[in-house]
Amino acid sequence: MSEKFKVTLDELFVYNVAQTIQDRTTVFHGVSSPIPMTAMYFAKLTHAKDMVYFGGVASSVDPNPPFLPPTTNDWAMIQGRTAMVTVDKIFDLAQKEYTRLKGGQQ
Amino acid sequence: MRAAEYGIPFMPMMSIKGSDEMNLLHPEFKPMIDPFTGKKIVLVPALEPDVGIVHVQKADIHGNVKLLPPYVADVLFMRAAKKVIVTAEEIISEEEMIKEGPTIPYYHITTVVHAPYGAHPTACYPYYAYDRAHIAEYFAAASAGAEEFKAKYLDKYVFGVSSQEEYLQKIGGKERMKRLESWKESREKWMELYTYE
Repeated sequence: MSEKFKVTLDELFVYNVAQTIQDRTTVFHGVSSPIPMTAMYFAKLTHAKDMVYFGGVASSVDPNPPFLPPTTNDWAMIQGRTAMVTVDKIFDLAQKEYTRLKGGQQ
Repeated sequence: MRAAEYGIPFMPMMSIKGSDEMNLLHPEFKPMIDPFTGKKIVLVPALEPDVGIVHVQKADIHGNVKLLPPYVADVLFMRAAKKVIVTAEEIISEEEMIKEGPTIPYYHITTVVHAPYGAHPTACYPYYAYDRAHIAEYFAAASAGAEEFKAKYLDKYVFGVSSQEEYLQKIGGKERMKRLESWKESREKWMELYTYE
């Protein structure tokens, strides 16, 4: 039996974008992309624990921010990260086809 | 810009596939056959800015720069531009800079300007978070058209001030600055800044 509950359009977007992310893939979002960012973080906390997450232009690999800021390039997004990889190096990775760009720009 | 950084005339790209859209958006890009592999590549001409203006956390009087993340392509700008003007939150001594370890050395930098709050209304961590209310004011004025933008924003904050100090008074002075610096007090204070209108 299905239970009815209300979701916002943003939540629906986040859920659907998150579903496109497979575990053990590499994902990146750009600047001003709170929905892709939230979706990627949601995926990492649920079904894609081993995805490699580039925290946008904040240059962070697998950040662990204290909260998700409305801007996606913020000091919050460099907290708890494994390494710093600047955005030009992320595009290099994309060129080498290591990165499957998901979500994208809002 | 990477080509300008390397001092070469163009950069071959694999990720751009030559298409009609590309020709329309970037007529300066040229397709070419890679003489080594025979694969199709696209050449992007070097983009060398005449002047780069970059706001940083710390600089010394020689032009050594300490840049803290999250920065984007700032280092690339500084290496690619012919001249670089650095505005800095803090001017520190050479000894302090040696301890900090410069992100980019002095010979890339043309001049240094001491400009506290020089990134406002955007953020310059760890000093201050971005000024959401001011950006909302900017956005509203800019959305109202060129004349409105000049009257409501440029005349007030750009042409209507003669110094950085006067600008800082106009944006709300010490009270506003204290609020933007409050992000470091607690997570709650930090989050509050993002809902402050």
